[in-house]
Amino acid sequence: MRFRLLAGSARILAAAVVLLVGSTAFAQVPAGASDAPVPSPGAVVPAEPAEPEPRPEPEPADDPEPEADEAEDDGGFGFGGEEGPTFKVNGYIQSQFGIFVSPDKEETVPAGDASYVSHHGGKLGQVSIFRNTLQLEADWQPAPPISVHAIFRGVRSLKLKADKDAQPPNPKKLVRRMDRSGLEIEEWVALGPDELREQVRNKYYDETDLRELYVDLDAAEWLNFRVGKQQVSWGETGQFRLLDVVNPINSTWHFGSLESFEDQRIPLWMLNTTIDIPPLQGNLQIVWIPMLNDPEDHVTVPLTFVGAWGLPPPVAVGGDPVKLQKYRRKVFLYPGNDIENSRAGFRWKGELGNFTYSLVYFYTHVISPPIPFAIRTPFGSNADIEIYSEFPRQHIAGLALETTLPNPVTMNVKFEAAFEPDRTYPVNGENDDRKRSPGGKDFDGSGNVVPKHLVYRGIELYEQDQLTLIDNPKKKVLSYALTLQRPTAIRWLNPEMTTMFVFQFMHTWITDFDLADTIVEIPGYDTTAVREHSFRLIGSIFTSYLHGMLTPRLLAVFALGKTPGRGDEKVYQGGFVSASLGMTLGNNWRAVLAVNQFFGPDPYDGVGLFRDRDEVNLLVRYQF
Amino acid sequence: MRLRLAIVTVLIAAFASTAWAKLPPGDTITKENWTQKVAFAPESVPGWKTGETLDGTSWKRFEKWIPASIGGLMEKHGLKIWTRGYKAIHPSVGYIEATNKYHRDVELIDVGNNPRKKGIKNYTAGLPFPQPQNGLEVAWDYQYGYQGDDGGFHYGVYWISGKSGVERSEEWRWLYIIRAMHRTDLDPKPHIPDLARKDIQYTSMTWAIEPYDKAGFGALYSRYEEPKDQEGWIYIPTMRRTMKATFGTRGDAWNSTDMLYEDVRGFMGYPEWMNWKLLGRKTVIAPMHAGVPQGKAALKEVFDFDNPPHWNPKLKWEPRPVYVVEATAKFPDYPYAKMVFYFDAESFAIPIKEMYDKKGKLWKVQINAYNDSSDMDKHPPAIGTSLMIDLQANHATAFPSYNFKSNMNLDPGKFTLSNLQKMGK
Repeated sequence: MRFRLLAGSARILAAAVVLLVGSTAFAQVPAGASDAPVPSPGAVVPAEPAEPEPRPEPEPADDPEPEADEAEDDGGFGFGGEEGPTFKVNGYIQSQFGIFVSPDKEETVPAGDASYVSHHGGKLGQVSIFRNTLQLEADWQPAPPISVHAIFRGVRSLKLKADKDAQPPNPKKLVRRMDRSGLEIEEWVALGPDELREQVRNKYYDETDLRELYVDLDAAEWLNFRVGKQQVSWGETGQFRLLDVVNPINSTWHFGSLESFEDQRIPLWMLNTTIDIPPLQGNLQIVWIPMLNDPEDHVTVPLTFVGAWGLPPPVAVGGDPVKLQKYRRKVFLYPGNDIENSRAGFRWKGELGNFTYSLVYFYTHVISPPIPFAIRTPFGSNADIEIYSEFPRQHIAGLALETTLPNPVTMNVKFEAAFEPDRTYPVNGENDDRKRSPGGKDFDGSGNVVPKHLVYRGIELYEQDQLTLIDNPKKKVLSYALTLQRPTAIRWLNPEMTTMFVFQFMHTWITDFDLADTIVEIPGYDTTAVREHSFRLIGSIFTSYLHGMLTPRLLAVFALGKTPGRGDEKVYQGGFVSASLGMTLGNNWRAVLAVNQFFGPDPYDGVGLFRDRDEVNLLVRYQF
Repeated sequence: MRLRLAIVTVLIAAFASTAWAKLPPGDTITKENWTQKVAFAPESVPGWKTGETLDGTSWKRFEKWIPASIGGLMEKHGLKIWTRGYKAIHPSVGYIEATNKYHRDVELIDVGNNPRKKGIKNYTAGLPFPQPQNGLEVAWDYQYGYQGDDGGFHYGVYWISGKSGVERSEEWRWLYIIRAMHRTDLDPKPHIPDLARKDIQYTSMTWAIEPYDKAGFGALYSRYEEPKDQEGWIYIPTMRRTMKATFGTRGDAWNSTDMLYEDVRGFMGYPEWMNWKLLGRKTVIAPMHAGVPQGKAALKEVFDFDNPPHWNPKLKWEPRPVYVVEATAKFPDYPYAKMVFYFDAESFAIPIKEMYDKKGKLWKVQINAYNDSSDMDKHPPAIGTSLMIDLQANHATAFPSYNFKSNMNLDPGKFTLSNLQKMGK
């Protein structure tokens, strides 16, 4: 087996392990890591005499055999057996650092009977992210029809002050103490800020994970199997996901729309089959997810679990200080490792004239947000309630179209639509019409007295526990997006390269919306209601200078929403603007400097939830 | 009387100009007489001998045969020329047979200033205009010149600053069916039915191997018989998606290099897009048997990355018969005010190209160096290397060849969206 484990990579790996394990502060890349396995550009060519000796005339052969160095250089083209076995490892070491730059504000701001934390993310100058990543990718092709691909990712992050506002599922710990009479008692007490920060870092920021591991098998020219832990990306829209429904995401470590979905998607174990059907000019991709991951990896990580880039603490009503932990714990009944929980779907992608089109169907679960369906109040303890949330089943179907308009219009046009006929929405927790207590205090589902212990829909009930069930409605939701992309030569702006303009319009419509349903955006959190119509306008401009060395980019997103009949509703839900400069330095170094600004009239609605998270962010990467 | 004489002269010239582009009935081209029938032999260059090295101080002896742009590179940028003797080139036997069989049917269509109207009819295969009489016929000879029916290219891309040296590099692979229609070497001939049905003349797939953040980026695109923009898709690894690509913006640089999409191979547009003017038939020193070694290990033998301007190739140059043709674009937004092509008269390859800015100043010089064909009866000259120099920016992009193959009998069924995604993962 030939392999090309790049020279020097062992030193890089050793240095990277030291960096991850031994340090929480990124100082500088250890010396060993700068010995690039790929020669630095200036050292590609060893010194040679400037004038070569005249060479003898090459003798063309009738059937020329590849020269020895050609075979070593892998003269095949990977299209059916010309290449020998190969093994390659590459990857990157990266550090991403940011600081909040919103001006300091009051800790809490009164708003009528309510008050809220204003600088959700932290004060001016506080760290917004300090995330250090080592990612390794290995490709092994023992023989042409088979290849193995693996991605390892290790992340170490700082604890962030802003994570003190996290609302994790288990915000309390059981402590023993002596009461006044000297008896030892146990009680649940809230985690302190430092404990919260530690929990967030350990559980949601730091990683040591084999992200992807799959085998590609070309069983026939028209048939490919990809088996293992992987990501599948459907759909055409960027920035927001419509048909990109196969993998959930973890965007707890930064604002999701500013990071690549490649880095946010949670890879799942699945069987991914692609069948090429040339007579129909298309291919059919069938995906089956048998739910082998940790159950919590089957859904998008709720943003309430973290603080820096999570949802701010909820509004406190009645003038009381904000209480973060009104519950003892939240229990999430994740779709478990059960064949009955399997997800499956297909995508047909084909060409028709100048159009590329896709048809998608996926049977899955609601992956975000978790839907509270029950509240358990243990006997004798109103302060230690448990909130049970589930992820109900749902269908998603959709289509995507893409085409290009020729010169002089010269534009790429994409349309994508998704229909969810049975999407479950959470209801306002204050809506008593949506709650029911199924019987008396001693409920067993049939009204009989609970003996001692009962499990009802995954909830363990004990004698005299109170249980409140919440009826969450299913809605028919239609979402669609139109994207226009146009490269334009603006010579005064950039004499060398074109400038790309991107415009995207998205609309989500709950087609059977009913005001009486009181469905909310974020369950168990506040009462901000879902709009019947939600719109997003996205615009982006980017170009590059110095032959790709500098890439400035401007991205702007605005969110709007409206419910006919709800007169007091704000339409404008805020947005964000990101100005960034990407830098390409040689073959190995990459950097992105970004200034991100968030805004919104209501700190608990739309992008307003992040309005005090303005930041300056620098990402530096060494790739090999 | 004078008027009648003038009219007769014009009529004779008009008749002759089309007659001479075609051979008389019964006149047959062979590989032995290809140069004589189709092109012309280069003139003798006094003092030219194999094995010399010319530089900025010695090139003027051959000033008449070295384009001024190349001379400028030698004087101001240290380019050297290693000399060799002329060697004739002929296309494959299949291409010559097709030329004999079909060239007399070919007719030009006057499209005026319309770049989108097809400007040729009755073309099947082979060289359309042996002994071209004007710039447009030379352009069509280039368009349908012999390059094999398909091929593959494994190459590097080097961005080079004239001051500081190599800025960065990438590694790419490229598979192409250059003759999906009008094939002469590989079956099916003359067309691949599935692609001919869609009017696809050329289809190609290219993908990046290195560096890490570019690996897997790929493009699949096709050109048509009609002079319209290419169509295709790109695969973006970070999004794990394909995206339809737009190619219609004039002056779009390929991959942030000094080369525009239209500069690939010298010219990747259509003859209908330009106004072509034949400036002359000349003998010019050009690298058509350049002796470029292949493979990554030979990189240092191909380019002098160490010494300023860090882009000079080490090539063998020989006297070549060329058609010097000036082209001006019909598109108002074209970045080059004019281009001057040196079309090799035997192969119609473009070993040298000059590009001028809107002020008429020399902006870029492109050198495409070829190696010997492995077997001229069956294969075209091999791509040696390519270099695009932006003189005004003091910057260049070099494309060293790591491996080149022609007439590989590529399966057109592999050039699909599904495979593009597979190649990119």
